Amino acid sequence: MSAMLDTMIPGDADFPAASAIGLHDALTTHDRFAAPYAAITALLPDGFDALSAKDKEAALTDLERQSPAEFNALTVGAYSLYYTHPQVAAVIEALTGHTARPPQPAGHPLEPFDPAMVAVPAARGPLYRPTPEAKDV
Amino acid sequence: MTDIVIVGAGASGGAAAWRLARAGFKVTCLEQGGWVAPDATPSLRPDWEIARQTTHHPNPNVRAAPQDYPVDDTDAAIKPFLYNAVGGSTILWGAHFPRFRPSDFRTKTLDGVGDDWPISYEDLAPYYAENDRMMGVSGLSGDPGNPPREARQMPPVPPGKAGVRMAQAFDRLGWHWWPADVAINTQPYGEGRGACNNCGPCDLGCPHGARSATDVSYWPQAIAAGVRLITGARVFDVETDAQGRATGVAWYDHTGTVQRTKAAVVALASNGLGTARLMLLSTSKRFPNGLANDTDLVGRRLMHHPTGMVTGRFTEAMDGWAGPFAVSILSQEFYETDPTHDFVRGYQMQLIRSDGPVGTAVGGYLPRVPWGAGHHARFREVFGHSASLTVTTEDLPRLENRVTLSDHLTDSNGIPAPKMTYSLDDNTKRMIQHGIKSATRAFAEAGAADITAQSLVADAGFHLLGTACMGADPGSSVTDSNSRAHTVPNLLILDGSVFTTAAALNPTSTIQALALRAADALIRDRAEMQVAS
Repeated sequence: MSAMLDTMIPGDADFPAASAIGLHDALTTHDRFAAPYAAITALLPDGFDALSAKDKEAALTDLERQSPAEFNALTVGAYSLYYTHPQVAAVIEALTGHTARPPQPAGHPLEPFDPAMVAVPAARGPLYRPTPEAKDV
Repeated sequence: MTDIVIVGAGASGGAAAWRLARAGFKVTCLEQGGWVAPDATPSLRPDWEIARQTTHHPNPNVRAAPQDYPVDDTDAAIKPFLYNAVGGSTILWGAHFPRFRPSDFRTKTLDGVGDDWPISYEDLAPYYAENDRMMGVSGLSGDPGNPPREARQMPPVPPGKAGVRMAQAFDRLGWHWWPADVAINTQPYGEGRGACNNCGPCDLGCPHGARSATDVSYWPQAIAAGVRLITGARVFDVETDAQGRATGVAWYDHTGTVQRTKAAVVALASNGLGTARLMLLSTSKRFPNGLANDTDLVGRRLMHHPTGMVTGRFTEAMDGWAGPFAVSILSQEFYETDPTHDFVRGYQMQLIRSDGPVGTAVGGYLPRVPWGAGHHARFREVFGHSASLTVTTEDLPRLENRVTLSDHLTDSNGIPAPKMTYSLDDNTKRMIQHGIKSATRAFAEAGAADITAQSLVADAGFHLLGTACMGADPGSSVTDSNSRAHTVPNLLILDGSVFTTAAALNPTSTIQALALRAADALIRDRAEMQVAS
């Protein structure tokens, strides 16, 4: 099954391949994602692991076309578990500055709002439409 | 026997309960969900983005939590988003908090479409102000797009890198923009509520109480004022006497046992879906087609805010994963009817920040990052490099857009689920296309490297409006101007069901202002109220 997941999420110079973070085990044991994973793996053609990279992609493209709902659910599950893995989160932090920790409790710095930035729109006259009852409130 | 029983502890139920209890009413509120502990937010966990896709998904059909009811949405172009808990859907909202414009209450007079509300912006203004004080609003005075008003409680949320970039683009185009009014603390405000720390996923809850919700704003004060709040209580019938006056409600407790609460007044505050469902369930000899449904308008005129979305990708990092996801700046340049357009009424554009890693990969604002050999290269291009403009349109009421009872889906108590039947009309479709062109032009002006548009975001049914509409004429509306059912004098509708028209703006501040106004009318008219004997 790792061959399928590595076809979907291969490794590169920065990111680990799906198999390198144990994505198969994570999917198999996840309460919501295990079922679509099992559904798609059951549909894989015999000898999938021995196919060339190009033929693996072609086989999965066929599967995605034939079973769109199940393949979509698998993709959501695979991406969800891959991108929340600590090893992948560390790569993203190194590349982008997006911290490899939950959003809370630390958050991110909240810069003060600069009121000067509204100078142009503030100089315009009223844009809202008058009504019979219109008056300043 | 209680003075009033309120069904639903969300945005409107919390506001009305607080107001009435402080005036001496004996108030009972029944809520099918429970309390959500602030420290239970998934944003404290590494798997927070998985929670967004599963256990904390805004669609109850996906989330499928025990307190949820399913929604039959097979015939609905827009899918339902709601939450069942103390705080209701404010538990998972983005906290946009605009007021409606004066023209929103007069679409028939001004543009010959929809219907005029039986009240005006001026009637609601003092309630908007009171509600702002209770919820806590960050924003900036001086917006030329809206009437002058009191100063907000706190300064605006900073717009982020993309917000600055888009504001400059709007300035060059000569288009209106302004910092969004939001119910998010930029400074400590309210009882025990801290300041925003710019974390991003407001929709998953806020452990600091900075993002307002009625469980941290109204409810602590309502309970202190004596409101009895019962959670795990699923109401399935509003009971009436032979004259059609409400006598109370029947509900299932958390064990599945039927309970009854007798009340002089019944108030429904379960959103435009749940309230219509309950009214249609509550049949009797006097109301064979559902409570207060003599006009066959209960459940009809369902309105959303059909939304298109345009996303710009910049070559520079915008760090859009930081900051309240839904909140930055907005433009109301195309809000009012313009005779040069091929549609009536208008739309607002709101700038949205971007997603975390999972959201980016799975897709939402941008198409899904394809699997396969190019996966990581595409992820690098888009992650943290985009911003989106929603095109939020005014949805005019149509009878065929409606809530009915599903003929095959039920909740865990066997109660028929609501069914949404909903499609867009040509006016709305033309409006969205105009909005997509406008937003595309704005991103081009801002220097986006590439621009992607979605003509309709299906997962955008967070505003459920109009299914028990307010009006002056009992023959063409369900409630009067005080949110009281024309044919059931001791029945109040407090949520967005009463909206006569939908405007093109997030509705929560208007829903709550209407609930406070309805509560004040009840306090004023208490002695004359016709109740069951």
